[in-house]
Amino acid sequence: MDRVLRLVPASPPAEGARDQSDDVRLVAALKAREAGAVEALLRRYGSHLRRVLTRVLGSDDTETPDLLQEVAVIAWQSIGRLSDPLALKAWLTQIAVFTARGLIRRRHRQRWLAFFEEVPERSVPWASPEMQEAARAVYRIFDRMPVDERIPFALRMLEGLELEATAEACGMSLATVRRRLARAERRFHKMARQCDALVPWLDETEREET
Amino acid sequence: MSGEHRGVGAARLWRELAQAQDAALAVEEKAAGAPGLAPGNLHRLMARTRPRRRLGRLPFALAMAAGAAALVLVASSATRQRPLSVQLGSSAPRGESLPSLVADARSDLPLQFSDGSTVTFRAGSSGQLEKLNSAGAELVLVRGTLQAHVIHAETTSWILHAGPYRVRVTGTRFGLSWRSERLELSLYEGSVVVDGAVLGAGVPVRAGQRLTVASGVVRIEPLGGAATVALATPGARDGAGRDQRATAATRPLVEPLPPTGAEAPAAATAEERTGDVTPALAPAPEVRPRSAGARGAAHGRSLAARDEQWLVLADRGAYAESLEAAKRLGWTNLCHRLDARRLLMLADVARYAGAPLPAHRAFQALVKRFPDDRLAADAVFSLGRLAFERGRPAEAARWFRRYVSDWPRGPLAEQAAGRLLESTIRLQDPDATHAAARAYLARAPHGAQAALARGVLADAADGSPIP
Repeated sequence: MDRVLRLVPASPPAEGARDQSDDVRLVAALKAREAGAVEALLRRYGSHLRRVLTRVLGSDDTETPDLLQEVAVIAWQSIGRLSDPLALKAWLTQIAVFTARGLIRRRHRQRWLAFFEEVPERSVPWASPEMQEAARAVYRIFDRMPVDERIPFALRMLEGLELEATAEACGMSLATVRRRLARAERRFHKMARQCDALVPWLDETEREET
Repeated sequence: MSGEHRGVGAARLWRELAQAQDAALAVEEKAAGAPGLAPGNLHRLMARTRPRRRLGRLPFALAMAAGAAALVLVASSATRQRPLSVQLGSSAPRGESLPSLVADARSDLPLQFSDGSTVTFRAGSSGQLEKLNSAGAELVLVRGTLQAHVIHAETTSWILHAGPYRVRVTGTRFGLSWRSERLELSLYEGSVVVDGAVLGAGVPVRAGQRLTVASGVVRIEPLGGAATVALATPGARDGAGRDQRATAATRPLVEPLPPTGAEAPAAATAEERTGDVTPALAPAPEVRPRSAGARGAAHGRSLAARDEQWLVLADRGAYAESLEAAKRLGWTNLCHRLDARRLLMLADVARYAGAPLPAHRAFQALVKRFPDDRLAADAVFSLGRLAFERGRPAEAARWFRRYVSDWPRGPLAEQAAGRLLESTIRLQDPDATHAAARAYLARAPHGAQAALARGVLADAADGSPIP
């Protein structure tokens, strides 16, 4: 939890001055325990947090709404430790990443003690059958990757975060995240080449290696 | 979201997958009505923060300052009780979906509810958790046996379905069994009403009573005595609801016996063990009183009661207390004298109580003393699982290998083969890993670990290290 609550340096302002002042006001409202502040936080950053969780866990993951709440609760409880209001988004992203990481680790510990029947795949009408199949294959591979490789890899490849932002979100140094991304990419492609659902999505150079 | 810095090998995959996820999120948010905030989430958020002292004023403050819509939310959340949550075995259920429950080949599956209630599906039983709300839960026992302890509250309302029957509960402790069209309910505390099929609108059952319904015959008898109230239902042929018209006309008038008093739970448990419904609790011959005289008999009963206290506690799902009670009798002593079934139960008690070392000793005693008993296979598998959990992959691999070798057709053979593969991967032993992967694929080409096994063999072909 200490790592989750670690203060992070302010991101360079990616949004306009009005957004910045909105963040300042929002952080002040949260710290003052103002009514509606949590709602405002989720209204402002809910989509972003949900997207980060989805990148890491996949669209089919039924625990995403609960994790979003978890993130909001942690943010509410520890907002006093955020010294720079302009770092709010990066700080929330880091909480989301660490919350997701906790879930993945818990699942890794529990997966072979499964008491559940196979959970049927949820049919989601948001993509072609090929895309859905590929998505499932991607997250099956993610499930076999070390969590500290999986998360930066998902954020970089799917969310399109820059290296610095990926490192910041994961609480890693730039060198560490670079090393883990390289390892994750090798690992992912090795497994993807063995997966029929993913072969059509690989570039020619990748397919030739199979 | 730029794609130029993404991995070149699968740039199209990442781009289109991200787009598809964005589309899904947009659809979900539109349906939810507010971005990133599903309906009801704020309620739950507030409910979760309310118990913390430092946040104690949060609901009030929010209610005071929020607009009319927020006021409605706050008011309704304040009047509603917090929904129950449940923990299954060692894991929590996935999100909103309530899972099918299948106790694995031999282990019990305990469900711990947030109000303190417990429901334990016995080994080999299956069922479904259908509903979960602030007042209680609704479960279906598809087959097998469960033990329930429902904590009473003013608004408690639990319902258990077994075949055509329904048990309405407001706070009690009981065992329920549904097998081969036979219903059996043993009530240790409180009272319930059972209805459905030949029972019509409902039959009350009280503490210290056992209700059985089989082949159209309804019985209510005291758990601790021999007296039986047996009421045949001439029109009913079975408990599955067939020939219901005749049943309705000839519905039995069942007069429940008076409760047997404060001793009911203990007596119930002792009697329960003599039945065939919960064979796991069949009394071991060695704990029966043997003294001849009245004093001797009383002393023997007292010893037997003490001896079986851990069983009673285990039966309630109080595993930590059961472990302590068993330890007071001497763990080594129990490991030397219990029969195979009770040894397995003893080991499981320790496992559920989070005590791997005593569990290990009990499982080992079972394997050593009863090597030919079918339960030895379960113990061998459990020893492998315990070793893996304790970070001893070499030992785990030995146990799983033994299971696969000694019980190649056993109910856990495929799982053992898969866990052998996981153990060898953890051991970083390439030869053993490849052998385990090949053996797994030969046994279960479409099994849960088939992809892992193929990945391992593909890596071997590439000359890559084990992931």
